[in-house]
Amino acid sequence: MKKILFNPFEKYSETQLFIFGIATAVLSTYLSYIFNARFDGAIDMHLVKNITLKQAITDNIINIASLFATLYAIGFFINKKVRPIDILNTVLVARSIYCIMPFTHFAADTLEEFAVKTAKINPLDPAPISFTATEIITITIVSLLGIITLIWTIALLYNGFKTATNLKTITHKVLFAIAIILAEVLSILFITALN
Amino acid sequence: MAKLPVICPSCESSLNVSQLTCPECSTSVNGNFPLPVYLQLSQDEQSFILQFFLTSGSLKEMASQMGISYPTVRNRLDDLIEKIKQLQQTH
Repeated sequence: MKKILFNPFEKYSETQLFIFGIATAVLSTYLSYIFNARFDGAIDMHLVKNITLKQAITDNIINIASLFATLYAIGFFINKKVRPIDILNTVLVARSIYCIMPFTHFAADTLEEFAVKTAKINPLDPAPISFTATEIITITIVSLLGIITLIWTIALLYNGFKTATNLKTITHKVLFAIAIILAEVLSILFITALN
Repeated sequence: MAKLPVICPSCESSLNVSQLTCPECSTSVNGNFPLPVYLQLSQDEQSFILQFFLTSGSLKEMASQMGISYPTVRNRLDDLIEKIKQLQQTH
């Protein structure tokens, strides 16, 4: 079970992974559209007031393309035998976890109230501020969900990249981290430029 | 059938063959013969090479037979090639 959840790349064929990855990419795009959640970075998601279908589709394409481009470039540098399909499947399957996050839309109002209250805090003169039990529970659940999703996504990206490139050394691991950061920067730049 | 030990249980160095016996007449030959590279590999590694040979080197077919993905098979093959190169260098 642990293998299926964190490293399906060792077991499943490229066709199975690709079909699953494409299906979840379509699903996450649809969920982001109906729940006003923007994937505005390769490993980002923010709730917004409104999102068009075009934005939801473009965001996901840019995120997938950025991760694919940087991971494939670094992967090819590490191992010349790396196949584009294995890197693409790594990105698609890792991003499938992001189908969970748009559901935080149901906590949007509470999160907004929490944000408004915390924004009012003056760091030079911190006045006592009270949060309701609902706000504290909601922010805790959403934060935990965000952290778990991020860790799970990174773990899938790492395991997929490791299987695709036969990554072994510390230098390769550092290069992997650089590729992720680069993908995040690239995707934010492209998404911002297109809006 | 008992497995041929290839690694010294004491110091983990490669073992050599010191005696060969004819199963028909029980004649023994004594000496100090290094094991061929193939025999210095583990049982799993030998099975992997045999399967590679039997599938005419098709990694895709091997992956399907072993129930694992293509890159996993290719990685095992690459690791094995690296190990054999190192074994050849030590001889």
